[in-house]
Amino acid sequence: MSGNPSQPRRWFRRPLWLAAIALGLGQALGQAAGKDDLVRFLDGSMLHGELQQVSLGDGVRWARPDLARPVDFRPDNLAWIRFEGARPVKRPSEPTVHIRFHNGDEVLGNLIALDEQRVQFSTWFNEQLSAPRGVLQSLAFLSPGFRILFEGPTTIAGWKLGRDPKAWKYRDGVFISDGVGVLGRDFGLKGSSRIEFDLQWNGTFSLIVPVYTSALDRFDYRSNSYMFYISRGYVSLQRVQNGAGVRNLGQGQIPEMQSKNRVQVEIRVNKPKAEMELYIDRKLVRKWRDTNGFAATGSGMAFFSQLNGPIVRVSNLRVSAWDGHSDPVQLAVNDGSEDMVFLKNRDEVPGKLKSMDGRTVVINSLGADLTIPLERITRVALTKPEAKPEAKRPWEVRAHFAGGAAVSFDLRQWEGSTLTGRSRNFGPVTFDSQYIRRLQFNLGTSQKTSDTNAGGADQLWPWDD
Amino acid sequence: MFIRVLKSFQFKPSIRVPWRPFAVFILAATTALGQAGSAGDSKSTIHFKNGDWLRGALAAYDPAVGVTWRHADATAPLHFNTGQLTGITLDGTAVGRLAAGNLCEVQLVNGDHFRGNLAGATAQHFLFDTWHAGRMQLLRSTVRKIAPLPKGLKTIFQGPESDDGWTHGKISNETIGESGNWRYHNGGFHAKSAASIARDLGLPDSSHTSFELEWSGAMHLAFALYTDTLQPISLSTKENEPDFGGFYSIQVNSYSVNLLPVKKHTPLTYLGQATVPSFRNKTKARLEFFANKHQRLIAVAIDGKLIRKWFDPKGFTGEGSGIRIVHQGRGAVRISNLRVEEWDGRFKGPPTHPIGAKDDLVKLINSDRMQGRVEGIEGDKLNVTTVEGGFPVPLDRVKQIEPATSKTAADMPLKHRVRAHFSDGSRLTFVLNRWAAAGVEAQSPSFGRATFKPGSIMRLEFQAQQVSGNQ
Repeated sequence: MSGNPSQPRRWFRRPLWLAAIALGLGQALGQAAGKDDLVRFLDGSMLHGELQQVSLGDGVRWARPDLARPVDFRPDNLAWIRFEGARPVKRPSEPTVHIRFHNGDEVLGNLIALDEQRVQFSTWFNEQLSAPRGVLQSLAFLSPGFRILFEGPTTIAGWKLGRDPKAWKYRDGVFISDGVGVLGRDFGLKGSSRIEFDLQWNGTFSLIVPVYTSALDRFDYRSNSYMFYISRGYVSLQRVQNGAGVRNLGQGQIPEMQSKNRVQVEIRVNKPKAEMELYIDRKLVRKWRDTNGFAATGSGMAFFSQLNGPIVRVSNLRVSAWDGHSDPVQLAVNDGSEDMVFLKNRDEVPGKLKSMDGRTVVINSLGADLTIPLERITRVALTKPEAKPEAKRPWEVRAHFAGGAAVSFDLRQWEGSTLTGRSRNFGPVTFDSQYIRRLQFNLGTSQKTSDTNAGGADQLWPWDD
Repeated sequence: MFIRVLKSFQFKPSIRVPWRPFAVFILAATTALGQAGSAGDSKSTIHFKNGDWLRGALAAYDPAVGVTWRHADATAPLHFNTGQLTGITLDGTAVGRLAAGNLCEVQLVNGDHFRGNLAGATAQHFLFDTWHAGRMQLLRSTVRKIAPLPKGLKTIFQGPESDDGWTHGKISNETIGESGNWRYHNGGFHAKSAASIARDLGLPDSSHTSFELEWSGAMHLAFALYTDTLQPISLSTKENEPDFGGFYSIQVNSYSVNLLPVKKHTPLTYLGQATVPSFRNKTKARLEFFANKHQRLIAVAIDGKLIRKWFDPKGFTGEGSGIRIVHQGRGAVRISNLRVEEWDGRFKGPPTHPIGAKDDLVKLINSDRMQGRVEGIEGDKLNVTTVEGGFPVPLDRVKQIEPATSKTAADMPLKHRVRAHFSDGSRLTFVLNRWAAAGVEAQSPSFGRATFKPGSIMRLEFQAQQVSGNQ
């Protein structure tokens, strides 16, 4: 870490007795609190416990009840720290745009302006941020009424369990089932929606996901709902209607699941059109249309693990309201030599993006400047400038916030609950640690380490692949 | 919901607190503890009850401090109390050699077992020379079985200690899925996708192959014995394979063992299946394959129990002297403590003398039995006293000794119980007094106090549940 010797001088003048008291207090409180944070290393190993201190000099100080003294870990091989009980971020206003950066950062916020040099936007953590245009990858405009209805899990509280309450349990951001049982929750689903989650399994599993259901703690053919039957390699959809029975709407094949044990699942439900789509790892598997119209009447969803034995894990669940037509899965990664504006009518306009503000986009396409109203646009993708090799910074971390935002920065100081640092994209940043769900280290390599607790060291396969 | 506030904080630029002095200190400290240095040292793993695990190296243990653990990224050793520990897997272990002597397989009443040279007997103890702890005195009432091993039989292979000398094969059968490789780790071969590994071990005409098998989920393996081909053979298209000599395929899955002679231009006909219901409730077992060319015999034993003998009516099919292990693509498996020896054609039997019996039972290879007391060893003769008098019995005539035992003689409180798995497959349960570079100090009601070589222990289980040794 190349610290800034001039900046922190005042810290060295802090009386030693104050630090000693703080340290002693920290240890006492840490052990009494019984925190259940999780530190994970690049080799997959992990320790529950409590983060007591982050110091650029001493490293990450970790405590747990069976450790005689807290231990300081250097950041060199840390993958991430997961904080149990992170608070959802407080937004002064609903975000209108999903901003992605070439380095993997992403934020939800509001666009202020973009020109040929810089992009300006506001987010929940800063009312006005500015970044060089070259670091910007894409802007995806959120549908009107976009709202995150649920993002987690962070606890099993608020969920309904079926007859066997032990069939599902919560651990480290993951719902885990190794028996037959139901777990459900009412999200207040009204209009169209998107349901995203990571699914991990071992062995031959069978999972039913009823959506728009009112039967949250049971499997009930009397409820009006749609049920996705997901198994290793297949998905099928049933319409369940009280009095009308069950109707199979068709099956889709997912051959990739045969050689994997983890996928990202997305279900999109367009309620007015009675259309349902299922995506696996961002690829459309199957689209269904209920020709009888949308039959479900509930507002929740459930997970019903059907088999004893295989372990099913559900994590990174996000339920959001959707306008029914925008395509947020398309990340608009632009490998071409021109910027691209995607219109709601599915037209695409290549060219050189000149400017954007809260109302219009100006793009030079085929030699002419086109001014397009923002409400006609779904997303914008920008060309990627040639990457310059950058030195690895041991304290460059990425904070992942509830709601999906992720911001990387060079950590300069962690004082109390306040983190300060410098983002490569938009300069100085300050965060309150209570909103951080996960702090990622070694950004280039830690992506390979599962961001959830994938279980213990496998004696039979002690490697990460 | 709580607000996360770090309880103590400080900001020090690394320029003022460089890592190097720490590293020098740690190296010095841990070298003093004696475990530092080897490359594999930091690949040991400590496991906790909640599923946590951490790589590193076991630096020391004593009951007051608990486990002292070194981690490559920690600025100081970690001291864990043992309350939350389940085990420690130790890397960099090796199998030691034992001087020639009266080599025996020893089984204790608590299920522990090891190999050692029977050196004598006293009123209270049997004496064994071992490679991992030198001379050990075992309380007679804790010894379930002593089986002398025939002298002059060569050990052909013991390991693995790496995959050097082994040939990784390419599996091209589409029906068994994605092909991978066996990987060597800490005394074992691991696989979780279809994989083949083979070696010409020079199997003798009469052979005994034994190994520990661990698995998770479904298990389906095929062991080719007496093969002359180090690449896997697709049975469904064997006629299209390059020429190969006949071999036996012992197919082991989660519920049965099957034997298939495989020869080019000869139809495939299984010689018969043996169901193994006990596999359903297990995730590990010790398998033994016996083969004798002259008798046209192949036999399989699981956990010491012979489950099936096959006599090939068409003559001995095996035409090579190699062994090939093929994982059929389901579940993760580990094969360790592989030992290939010449075989004298005799099967060992489980002990039958009742626990609690007041006298010793000596079973001879001609099926005679002597009931009385084993008084001692003189040279290679066992002195046995029966009601008819004392008899010196040549050890090579002894099939096994089943001493007078007491069921609870080896019991220890669960809280202090540590079970050690040694790199040669031995297992001993004891109270761990100290782990240091000089040795692992332990004690048990069975062997009293002993000091083991640290490099001999592959795994430690803490608060290990009692397992019956009657197998």
